[in-house]
Amino acid sequence: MSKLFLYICLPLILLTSCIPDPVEIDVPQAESKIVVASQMLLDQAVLIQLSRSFNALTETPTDGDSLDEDFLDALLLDSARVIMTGPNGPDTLFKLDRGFYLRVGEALTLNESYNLSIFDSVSGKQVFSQATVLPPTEFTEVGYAFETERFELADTFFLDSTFKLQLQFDDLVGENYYMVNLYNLSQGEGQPSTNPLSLQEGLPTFTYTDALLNGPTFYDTLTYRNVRQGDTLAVTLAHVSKSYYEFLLARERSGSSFFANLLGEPVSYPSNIEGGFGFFNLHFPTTRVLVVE
Amino acid sequence: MSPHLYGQSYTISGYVKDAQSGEALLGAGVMVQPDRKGVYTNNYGFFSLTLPKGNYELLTNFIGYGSDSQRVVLNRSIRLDLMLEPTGTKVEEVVISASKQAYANEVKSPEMSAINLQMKNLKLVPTLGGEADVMKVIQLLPGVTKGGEGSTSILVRGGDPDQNLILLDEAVVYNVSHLFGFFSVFNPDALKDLTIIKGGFPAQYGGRLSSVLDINMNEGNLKKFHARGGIGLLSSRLTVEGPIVKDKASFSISGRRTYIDQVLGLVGIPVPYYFYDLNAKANVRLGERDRLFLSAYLGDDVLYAPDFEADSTENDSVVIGGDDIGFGFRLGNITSTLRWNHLFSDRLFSNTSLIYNRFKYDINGNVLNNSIFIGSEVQDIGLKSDFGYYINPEKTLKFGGQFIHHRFNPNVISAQGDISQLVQDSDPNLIIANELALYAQYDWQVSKNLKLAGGMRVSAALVPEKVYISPEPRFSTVYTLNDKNSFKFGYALMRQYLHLVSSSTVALPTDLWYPVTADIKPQSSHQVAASYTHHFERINSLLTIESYYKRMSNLTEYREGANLILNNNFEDELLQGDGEAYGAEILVKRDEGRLSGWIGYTLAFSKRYFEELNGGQPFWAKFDRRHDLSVVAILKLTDRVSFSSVFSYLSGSRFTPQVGQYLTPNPSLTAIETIPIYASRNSLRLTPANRVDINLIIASKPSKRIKQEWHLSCYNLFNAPTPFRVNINFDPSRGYFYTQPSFLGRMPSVAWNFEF
Repeated sequence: MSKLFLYICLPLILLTSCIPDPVEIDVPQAESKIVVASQMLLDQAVLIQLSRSFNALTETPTDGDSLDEDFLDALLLDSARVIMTGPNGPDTLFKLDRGFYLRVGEALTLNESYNLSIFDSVSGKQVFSQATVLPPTEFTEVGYAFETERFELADTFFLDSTFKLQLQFDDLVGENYYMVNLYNLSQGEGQPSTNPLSLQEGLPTFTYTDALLNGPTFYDTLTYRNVRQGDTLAVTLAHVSKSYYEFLLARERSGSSFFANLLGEPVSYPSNIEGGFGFFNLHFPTTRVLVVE
Repeated sequence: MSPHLYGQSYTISGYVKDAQSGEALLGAGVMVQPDRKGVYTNNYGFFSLTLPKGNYELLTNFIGYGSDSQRVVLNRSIRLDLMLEPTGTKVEEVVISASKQAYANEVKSPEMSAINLQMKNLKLVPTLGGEADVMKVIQLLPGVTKGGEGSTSILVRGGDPDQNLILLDEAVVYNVSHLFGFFSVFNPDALKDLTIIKGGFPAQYGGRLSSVLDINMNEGNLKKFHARGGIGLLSSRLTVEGPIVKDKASFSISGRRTYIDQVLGLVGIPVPYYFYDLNAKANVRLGERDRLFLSAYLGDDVLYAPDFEADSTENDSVVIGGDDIGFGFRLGNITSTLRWNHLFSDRLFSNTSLIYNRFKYDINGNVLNNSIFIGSEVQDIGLKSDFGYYINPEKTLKFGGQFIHHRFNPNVISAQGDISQLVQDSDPNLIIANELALYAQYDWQVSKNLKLAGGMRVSAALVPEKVYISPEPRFSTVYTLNDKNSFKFGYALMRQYLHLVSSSTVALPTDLWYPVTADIKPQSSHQVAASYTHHFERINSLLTIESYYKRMSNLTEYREGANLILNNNFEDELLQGDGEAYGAEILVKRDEGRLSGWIGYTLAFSKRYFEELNGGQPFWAKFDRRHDLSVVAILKLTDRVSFSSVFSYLSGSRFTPQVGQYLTPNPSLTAIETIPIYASRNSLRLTPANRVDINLIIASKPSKRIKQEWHLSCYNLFNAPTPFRVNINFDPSRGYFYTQPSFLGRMPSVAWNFEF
């Protein structure tokens, strides 16, 4: 019976089996909207970057490792009037470069809310947002431990380095959210990690909520694998808004699991821009510099 | 209870049985003339009629069987076992007459939203790969839709996949799928019949919101030995049954296994996967009043690495040997039920069941010197007692209770080697939950035209730090206009104390069941349904038009981007919200005759409301399929040749499309990231799918000692598109565009069945 199946039935079935051609589907695209990004440079300066959202089917062209300049230029918004209004009245931001608008003036007031209004004279589109200047918090302590280990896998030697950043900071009064970033200012001469199981790439952003914090002081140890001996690092701590924290969480979740991405529902990113996308933030990070020995 | 309490009344009681096998027939109608009063046999084929002294004609009928008529002189209580001949041995007219009587009974029954399927017809319906599959046939019924194309999952009246109570001889089957959901665990040769209830739930059932699928296994032929089996495209089956002691005790054993791994293995093509099922049942009559049944099911899916030898481990799972790389899993169910029927009197029937079931999966993987194990298990031990007190043909009291002890061991994770730096071992996490329920239901023929069935179920769940108790009222009624027309109405409140933790609607080995906790509340639903039933006597068909509205609370969904795999703290990922579903269903069915089958159509709407999803706005459920049409036709061409076909039209499932994107600096301001923009959740539909399946059945001459059947079938004959997802494609002349690939196209198959 198995021979009958193998030599007659199976080939017949395989020959006549087929899969239908894919069917096209029209997915209506969202209209292009203004995208806002902001950065507080000093307590007086705020940089607003404006661009446009685009079709989901548009490929983002790259030039080597970076985005194609022409593509980026086409997205940046050059025709906007940007006004930031605070307790001392409105400030019209001046255009620093294509898509970049700068506010320099009186120092921003802690815990005060600032309204952002953007009008694009070409498209006639307008977006609004509001952000509060959040008081910064300082590290009370920053330390690290660095370990390098050689190990053998399938007759090959690998180098596994683990950089453990120990940090401590005081939690501010009320409901707060924090963001920690690590920057590699200059690379040392130590050997980089070659562990194939080092799944983390780059220097990820870490976020915290004080909702589960038991005491006024927060301690944590963060592990990085892409640090080598001799590196000069800057670690920053920013007190961020709840909505931006939720954006960071969405970003983290969207890349968290292969299976979640493949089979689960997509992750929607929140925005605090009314009528547009992106974020208007007024947080200012504090920084500590470390040299890994 | 003495008949003297009812004056000159006496009781006729007994069992309705298949005349050839001696097996009990469930749901057969037993009616007395000239009063036209009657009852249905219970789940064990028992009936009891208490009537005033007199002469009666006792009419018995059951779909798929001829009818039986006996004259009874009732001047004392009597025991009477009624034998019905199966259709194949009866002339057409007798069969049609029995079927007509059964439909007339159905018109008058308050039971609603329930459909009973006989295995005889079910096996003729063409299915994927020529493998008769009860779940695939159930998907063709109105009110029931499927998950993905080709899958065995069912979604009933806008509910979720975990809201179906699937019982095999009263034991819960947690995972009904083989081969990632393409085949069900139910071997059709091992089954006797099944009933799906979608609303108007009797009080004896509880624990899930949307449906009860009650499947009974063959009891085994009490009169002679039989064997039957088959060889299909994917699997082979063999069933042996017969008497242990003639007319007193019998057994039935069925086995099924895929063999593509063995066949292709002969020519050196490794297929490292197989599944198998084993069903066994025995029953023994201990006397006039007692009967014991023991049934069991065992089934597994096994994936192993072909290049390595399998070893066993302490986890009793398939483990991949070898030093470099490997992956494997084993998942499956075990169910076993010990049932004791006892007649306290000729009017008080009881059944007590001791039930054990287990669903378990083990996944093993190793890369170089690293290994990881993921496992999960749910075990239940249950005790259930049901009583039926047949007061008289107008009044029946049913009552009983149930206790289930659940032991959950979810997401056991163990890693060895360097990977343990990235994947943490889980802490021991045995969760114990207990479910209790008591119920009573009173069936009352109020007048010639009005019959009520009212009940109350009180359920409770005891979990760490919390006790949930809930009354669950049930009610259904029928108002009969005449012998051919009736209106029915039903209401049911249902509670569910378990839910399925799944990252998708694809049946993954990692799906696991989890109980309510102090924080995760039980799901509940209120469902009302109204129907109109008409018996077309001339063409021997039954029409049912039914509408329903279901309001659901504490439904479960998962946070966007939730990672449920390798996550030992998945409770944090769970969200609870509400839902509503409403729709209308039409069913026209004909169970007997040269042309039989059914036409089912469903218009359905299903919405969800979750505060933390879709910006707090309502959204459509993923399987909110608006239109679902199925036409199933079985045509008997000659005594030996039959032809069956299925046409189905199904609105596409919903998905959340990406409708744009934007660039923004990353949080550390060191690079630019692309952020996708999505439309509102489940806002777009895949293209509708329609499909024609056919099956030609050629049987050997009935006089042959070994009866043979060839099934030549073709799934999706016209190779019609059956979209299941959206892809992005690229064409140099037009750039990027969206397409919907199909998963399954035309697939012919051949199967050979035998019986002797």
